This record gives sequence, C-alpha cells and structure tokens, in this order.
Amino acid sequence: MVTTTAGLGEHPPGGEEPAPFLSATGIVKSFGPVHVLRGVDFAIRPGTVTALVGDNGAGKTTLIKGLAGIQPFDAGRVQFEGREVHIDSPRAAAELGIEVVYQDLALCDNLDIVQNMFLGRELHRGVTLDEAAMEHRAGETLRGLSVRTVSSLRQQVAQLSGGQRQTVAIARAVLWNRKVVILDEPTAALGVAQTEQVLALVRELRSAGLGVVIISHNLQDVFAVADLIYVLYLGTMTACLPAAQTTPGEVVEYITGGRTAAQDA
Amino acid sequence: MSTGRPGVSWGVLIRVREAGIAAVIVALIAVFGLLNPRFLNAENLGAIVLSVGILMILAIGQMLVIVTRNIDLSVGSVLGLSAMVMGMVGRDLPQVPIPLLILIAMAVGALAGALNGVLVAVAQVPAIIATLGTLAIFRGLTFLVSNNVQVDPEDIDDRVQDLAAEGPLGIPWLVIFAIIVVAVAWWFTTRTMTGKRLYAIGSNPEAARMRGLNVRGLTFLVFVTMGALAGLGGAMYVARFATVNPADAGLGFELAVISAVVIGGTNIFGGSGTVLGTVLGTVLVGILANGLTVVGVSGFWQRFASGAIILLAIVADAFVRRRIEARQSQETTVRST
Repeated sequence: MVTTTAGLGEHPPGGEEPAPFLSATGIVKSFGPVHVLRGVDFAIRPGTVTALVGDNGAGKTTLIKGLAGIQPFDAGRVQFEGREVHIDSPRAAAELGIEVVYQDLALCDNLDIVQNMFLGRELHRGVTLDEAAMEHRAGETLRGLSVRTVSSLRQQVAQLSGGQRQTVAIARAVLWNRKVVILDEPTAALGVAQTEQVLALVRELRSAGLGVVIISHNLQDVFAVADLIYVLYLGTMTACLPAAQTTPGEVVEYITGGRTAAQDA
Repeated sequence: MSTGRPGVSWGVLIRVREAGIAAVIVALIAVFGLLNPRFLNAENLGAIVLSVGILMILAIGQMLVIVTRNIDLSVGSVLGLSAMVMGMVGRDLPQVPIPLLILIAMAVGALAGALNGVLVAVAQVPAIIATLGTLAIFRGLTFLVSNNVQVDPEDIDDRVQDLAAEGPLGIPWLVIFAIIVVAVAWWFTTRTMTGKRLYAIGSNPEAARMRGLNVRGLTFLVFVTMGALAGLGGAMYVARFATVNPADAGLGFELAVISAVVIGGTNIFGGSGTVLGTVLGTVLVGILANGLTVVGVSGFWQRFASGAIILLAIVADAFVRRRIEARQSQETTVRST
C-alpha cells in the first residue's frame, strides 16, 4: 500500500471544520443532451486544501468553469461566505475573491514578473505607473510565500521555467488578496523539483488561510497536500474523503466507479 | 536551483540588436559617403532628415499598432487623403491659420483611423484585411474629393512650406514634430499604464481580457492614434513637397513604414517593440532610400534592396528568438534537477 501523507495534520478532524468560503449545492449543468453535472455539492473552506479528482469527462473542468464565472451553471445554489451569489462572469468571481490559475497560466510572455502580477490592477500615480511600489509589493508577496527561485522581478515571464511561471500565477492570487484559489492541474507539466516547489507554495497558501482547490490527475501530489479529496464520477460527487483517513487505492476505486457513496453508506 | 543566471536576457539582447542597427547605419553612411561624397553634403543630409522625420511620425504609430498584434496597411493612403484635404482647404480658404490646417489634416487622419478601429476592434475583421480594404478606400476618396486634380505649389501658402524649412533654433517644425512624437511615445510606452497594457494585449490577448483589460477599446485607440499621426505626416508631406497629387501622395508609404518598424526589432506577432528601435529602424530605412538614389542605383534595385532588408531583419529576428528558446528549454531541464 502506498503511504498516505495527510497535509501536516493541520486540518481539524470533521466536526469542527471552519465555515466554508464557498459552498455549492445541487449544481446542474448540461450541454444540450449531455448532462455533465447532475446535482453536485462542493465546498471550499478557509485554510484547507481541497483536491478535486475524477477521470476525464467526470465534470471537473465544468464545475471549475462555473465557479470561475466562465460557464454559469444551469441550476443549483452557490453561497459565498454565507451569502447567496450568482457568479455569471469572470469579473464577478474576481470580485468575490476567487482566482483561477489555469493550466495555460494566462501570463503575458513579453511582460516581466511585476507587470504580470499587477496586470489589470496596476499601481499608478496619475497616468504614470508606480513601478517602484509595484516591484516592492511583488517582492514582498513572493518572499511572503518563501519563493526564492526567481532571480529578478524584472525578468520577462518567457524566460521562466514552468515551475516559476506557476509560482508567478499563484502569487498573483495572494497579491490581490484572493480568498479562494483554484489550481487547474498545477503540476501537470513540471519536473520533480518544480512540482515540490509548487506544492510547497500550496501549503503556504493554506497557512495564509486561503481556501485552495487543486485539480489533479496525480494522486501522489494530491495526497502530498490535500486535506479533503472530492471525487467526481460521471457528473456526480461520489465521495468526499479526509485525506488522512483514506488511501490512494480507495480514491482510485471511486474515480473509476468501482465504488460509490451509496455502497459506502 | 540557480539564481542570478548568467547569459543573455531579452533586455540585453534587444539592446544588442539596437546597437547592431546603429552599426549598420554607420556602415551605410560610410559606404554611401565613399561612393559619392555628395551623400554627405549638408543639403543631402538635410533632405535625409526631412524624409526620416515624416517616416518617423508614421513609424511610431505603426509600432504601437503592431505591438497590439495588429497592422495598419492603410497609412500611405491616410497620409495622401489628409494631405489632399489640407492642401485643398489651404488653397480654397486662404484665411485658415496654419495650426488649424495641421489640425484638420490630423482630424482627417484620426477619422480614417477610427474607421480602421471600428472594423478591427468592433467588427473583429483581421487588421490585415480591414486595412487592405481601407487602403483602397482612402486612396479612392483622395481621387474623389480632389476630383483628380492636384494641389499645385503656388496654391500652398509659403508659411506651410516653411514648416519643412524653418523653426525654433533653426530646426524645421517638421523635425520638431517628429521629436515630440518620439518623446511622447517613449514616455507613453515606458511609463504609462495604458502604454504597458498595449504590450499585454499583443502578448496574450486572452490573458489581457481575463485580467479585465478593455482590449477592444485600446485597439480602437491605437488605430485612431495611428490615423492622427498619419494625418500629421500628411501635413508635413504638404509642407515638404508643396504639391499633393492624388495618385502619388503617400503611395506605397506603408512599405517603408512597416520596414522601419520591423527592422527596428518590433515583433510582427505583437507584444514587443521599442521606440528607440523604431527610431533607429526609421533612420536606417531613410538613409538606405536616399543613399541608393544618390549613388545611382535604379528604382527597381532600390525596391529589391528594401524588400531584401525587411526579409533579412525578420529572418535574423526569428533566428535569434529560436536560439533563445532552445537555450531556455535546455536550461529549464538542467535547473529542474
């Protein structure tokens, strides 16, 4: 049996969980005749890393796109900090404090790290940019996340390695005081050392009290950081397992549909 | 994990490239000067400065357009149309003051640019197609408004012609305008939020949109600016040549403008480009055109040479970029261990 490392045991066992930042209940989404999400419940809690796993086509991306405001849900309730919300645009998601870091990262290669972190929310005095203040705050943010792998904040993003690019994209969420950060396959294209860097960053986000969602196919990474593991199977949430009390084998069974919540209960 | 990595950074490379252009400029001056000493006399150098001035005003605008991952092929026609309107207004209404004439030319250009902007930013027509269409439309309009009659030198106010000959400290107004355009563009692209955002749009339009940037608004703004600058170029054309022929004014000018921008290191696929590079690219193109004429190269070979130089610039650029990418992927592999 593979070792199961629950994330540092910081997460309190069930019962005294903090109130969720975001809770979604009965989420339904169809594309024509295809029912992609069939009444899904999902929650994102402060200071918690929630993994969202499932096979291709299980509906992970659709769920995330709904929470990001890119493809609003057909039905279901979404509450953010106890308030009923309708996330109907990326802007609405951003205003609530939800940041999605996509696989392609949505960085501008020709801009440097500082410019990318501040793009769309530049600090300025009148019409001119306050470069010094932006550089200072970007540096502070990266140091706050214990990032030491970036040699110069004025490097163009095109020059950075995959892990460094991921770091910049994630640090942007922290800089903008996001409450919820959703990472779509953050380690998919990374080598071993870079993956470790990103996972360390995820732990930093958790200790900063953010609600982190990590979508991944890599169960080793999931078990390395996640507190809770949600499993989607064909548009239904079949399991929500505390990482400390489950095994990769069990999660795989849920992912492949060899086991369902009904059997479990 | 290494920090403070040695080697070539993009910033350094761009500066190296600019030094390269400067070196080519010096070499061209030397060669043309040796082949025909007349190239270096005051009169010819003055002529170079004036043609470079007009070209520069348009090239700066074109650089901004290309940075946003667009292109404006209609600039020569816009120059012709605004020069024609200004020439005709000056001829038919001699009481109109000179500054107002210049503003009229710029307004005509801005209006033309607004049409390009609407086509590209609102109707989402690819810029290369939209401006290919307006290139023909604006040239046609120039024939229509002028009734195919040129504005003759005797119909152009001497004070207009003086703009290309006199000015403060003996510097012609044409040159002063070009310097102002360059200075403002430098400030705009390096210091302002809007200027920096143009690079973001050209670099990754999708990301720019996701970050809440008004991509369409900024694209429209860039085309209007390009149009107004082409209009200013039109006014300077009237001043310099004291003739506006509908079939001739600004014809083919887009090629010189785009060459200058590309030679200056602006990436044709958007996202990068500097004012300094554009200035150097413009000087190079201006010197080349003048020098080839002065040393007696025929018009055909002049075109051949300017085409070859654009290709050379683009190939060199692609080569350098590929080298850098190869290096990067290599380093990434090494560093991730």
